Amino acid sequence: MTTSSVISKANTAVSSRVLANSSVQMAAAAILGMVVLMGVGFAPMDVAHNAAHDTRHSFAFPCH
Amino acid sequence: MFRPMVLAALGIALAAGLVLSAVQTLHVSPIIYAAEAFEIEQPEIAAVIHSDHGHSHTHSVQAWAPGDGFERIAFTVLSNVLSAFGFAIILLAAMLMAKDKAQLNVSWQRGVLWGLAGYLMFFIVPALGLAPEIPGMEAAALEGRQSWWVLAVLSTGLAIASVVFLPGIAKAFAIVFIAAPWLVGAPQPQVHGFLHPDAQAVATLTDLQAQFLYATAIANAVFWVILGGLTGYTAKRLVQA
Repeated sequence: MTTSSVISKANTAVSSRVLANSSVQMAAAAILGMVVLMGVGFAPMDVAHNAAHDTRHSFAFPCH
Repeated sequence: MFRPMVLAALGIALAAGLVLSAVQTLHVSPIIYAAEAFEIEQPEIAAVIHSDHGHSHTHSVQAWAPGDGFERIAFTVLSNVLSAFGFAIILLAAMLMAKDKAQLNVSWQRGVLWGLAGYLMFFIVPALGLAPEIPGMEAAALEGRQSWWVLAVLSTGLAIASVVFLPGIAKAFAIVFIAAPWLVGAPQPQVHGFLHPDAQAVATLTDLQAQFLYATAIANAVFWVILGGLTGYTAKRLVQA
């Protein structure tokens, strides 16, 4: 095995790990967004409903 | 990538959320306030009518609510920015994934197209089944409407993704996703319109409802175009960094 092939294998390993890592981070970011939206738009507590009332109506989230 | 994405989404949310708040304060909220005037006048009638058919009404007399005026607007602006953050980070993750997996370019112009897809997905299609409501309007039980809303959003997203990402004839899968929420059917109330005892009030509320459709359609369109454009611009900067 030449030095260059070792380096290239190492690079492939690193880049595929970076890719997987980045996919996990994308998914985490999207889930964070969904959780925030659920809280503002769908949380059933009266206090959450009253605070976000006009926003829920404006986005046409189901309300009341 | 997670931290820069959160920070970028916060910046986008602040800009798009504040623009939305301006349009909303001028054109949307006044319609909500006008409709509420009728709601507050007849609380005991509303309570009787609602209990008749098991309608879940979440207003409670005791629960805290922001005071009218500055406090209410401030909480609405905060809720707008938080919602915009949620939409922006989902859009940003989707754009970066599409760039990574399908070599889709990112730019502010492409971002506007993503924004229009978001408008279709999160506003137009759900609103076709569940019209944007003003306070006091009759509607089916909340849980059923929320579930249908989520179904409409997800299936519209899958339909758009099928058209954009699937090759050739496979794009036709979009039809299944477009049809799904309509095969299930949006939950409908037993009575349509308003159960206010005064005919004049019902006429006013019906008129307000029509105005509300246009006002929300325009406010959401402005919001999504700005959100999409800014997210596309930011995605390009993040990719280059």
